[in-house]
Amino acid sequence: MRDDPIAEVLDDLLKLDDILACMVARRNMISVMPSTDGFNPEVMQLWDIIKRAMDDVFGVIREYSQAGLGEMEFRLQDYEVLFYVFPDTENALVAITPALANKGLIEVEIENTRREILKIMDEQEKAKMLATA
Amino acid sequence: MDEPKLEVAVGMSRKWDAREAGREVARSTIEKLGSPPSFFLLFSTIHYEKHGGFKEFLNGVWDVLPEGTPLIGGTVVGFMTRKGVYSRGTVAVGFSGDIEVEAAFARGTRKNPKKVSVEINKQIKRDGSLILAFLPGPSMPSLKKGEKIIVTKSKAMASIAPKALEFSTKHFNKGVGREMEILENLSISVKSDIVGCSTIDDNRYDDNYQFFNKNFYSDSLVLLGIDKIKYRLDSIGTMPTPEKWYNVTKKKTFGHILEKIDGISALSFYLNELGYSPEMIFEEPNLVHRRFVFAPVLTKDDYGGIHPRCPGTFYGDTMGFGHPIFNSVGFSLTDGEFINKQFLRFIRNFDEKETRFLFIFSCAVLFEALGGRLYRIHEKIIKNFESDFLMLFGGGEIISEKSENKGPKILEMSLTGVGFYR
Repeated sequence: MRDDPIAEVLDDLLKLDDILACMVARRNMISVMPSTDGFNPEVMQLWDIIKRAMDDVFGVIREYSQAGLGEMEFRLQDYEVLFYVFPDTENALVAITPALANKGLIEVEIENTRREILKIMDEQEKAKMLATA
Repeated sequence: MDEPKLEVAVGMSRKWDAREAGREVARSTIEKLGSPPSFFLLFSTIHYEKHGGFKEFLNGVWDVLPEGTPLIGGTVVGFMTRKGVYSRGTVAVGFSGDIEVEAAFARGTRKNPKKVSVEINKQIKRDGSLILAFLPGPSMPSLKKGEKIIVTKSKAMASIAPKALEFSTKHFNKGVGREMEILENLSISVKSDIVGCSTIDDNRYDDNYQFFNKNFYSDSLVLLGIDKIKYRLDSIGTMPTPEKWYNVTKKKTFGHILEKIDGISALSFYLNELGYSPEMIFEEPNLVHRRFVFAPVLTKDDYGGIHPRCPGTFYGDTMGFGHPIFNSVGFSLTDGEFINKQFLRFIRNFDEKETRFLFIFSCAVLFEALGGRLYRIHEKIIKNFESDFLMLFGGGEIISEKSENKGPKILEMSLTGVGFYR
């Protein structure tokens, strides 16, 4: 989505070599995608099965996010799917990486992306409250 | 008499475009200084290599930086400032005040370390200043594009690799950094404290770069001698000290490949000491760097100084390291809790009221192992330390103290740094 600040933040994350796909999502719904064209083609080949696995994980996130569940991940074939849950929500930043990637470096940038998205969400929330006040 | 004035400012950029990032990092640093910088330290992650190139990156910096400002620096795997932790971007530190500076540089660190030290000695005229130094860390030759062999059971590979690595290092500028050889010569000829780090890429061990004024290199020692500045050095490890030490009985490739300990194959000895099975290495080779950072080998130099080493390669029964092994080794186990405590302990060694700026060097493999958990360390640091700081994660931490009983060190997994006083 053009002009969506969260999409622009996802664009930045997707530029990293080891990020094959990223999105803000919840169960059965992708809330925000990067605005650039498509994910890595090798991920798209497995997209159906990845999507089904993601939806199952979101079921767990829905159960435990209020209890403080922060992160989850699973490995599927040659990929890892990482979930960074936004506090007190059922939404998560989801990133797909190769299973053999330098995970430490990627984790730092995914955390930076999560923080930027949280900041945008907070600002959008404040703007909404001011508009309705 | 008035104390010499010292201003220090940190700036950064997260822009992808090399030229724009260069401009932003320079602008965001020098706009915080009350006067033009006496010198400028510049660091970046490797990403600009593919997003415009380092020439454009430096062009962007020099679009903003005053002509003639001494500039040194290089590539790192990541960095931490008061604002956060980053594995992509660029960061800089500008110093201004009543400081005197000499810049020096020499090429050919892997080819001829002794010649590099001689060249530098000709350029540094003063004794007694603090020297900040950056030089190439390890890179690894590839078999085909991007492919590097970290782990193999092959004894043939174990037999060929030492000579091949030595040849590649000397003739193709691809291999170990030979930092210790440079440091040993430099610490004798230059009567100054030396601190800094090796440059590194994103832990793929392809190429890493050093910056000197308007140019970048892959084979250079770059350094600044800084005079009329008050400072203090410190260094601590992130693992317990071993209780037992063993003799190294066979090693190769400038001491980087360890073959035998007390006459027994190095890998067998190591695994036996730790109680680990070989499957932890050979069945999951992609995890070795993340895993074995918590089981480092430590080696003792002739001065009794202890240098931690994270295992880098496992070929047959041998172990390869990014930096040399001396004549005795010990083993240690560490964990997240111990490492966390050591970060805080290091910071607390510097008085935050007296310290104007703290410049810390730590290790690329530690950055990789801790990953997102570095943010927990970051939170504790900014709660416990009010002054400004920059922590770089490079290919090896350098410290050499003038005091006669302490030899130079090239460390891994340490926290090594210099606090600059007001």
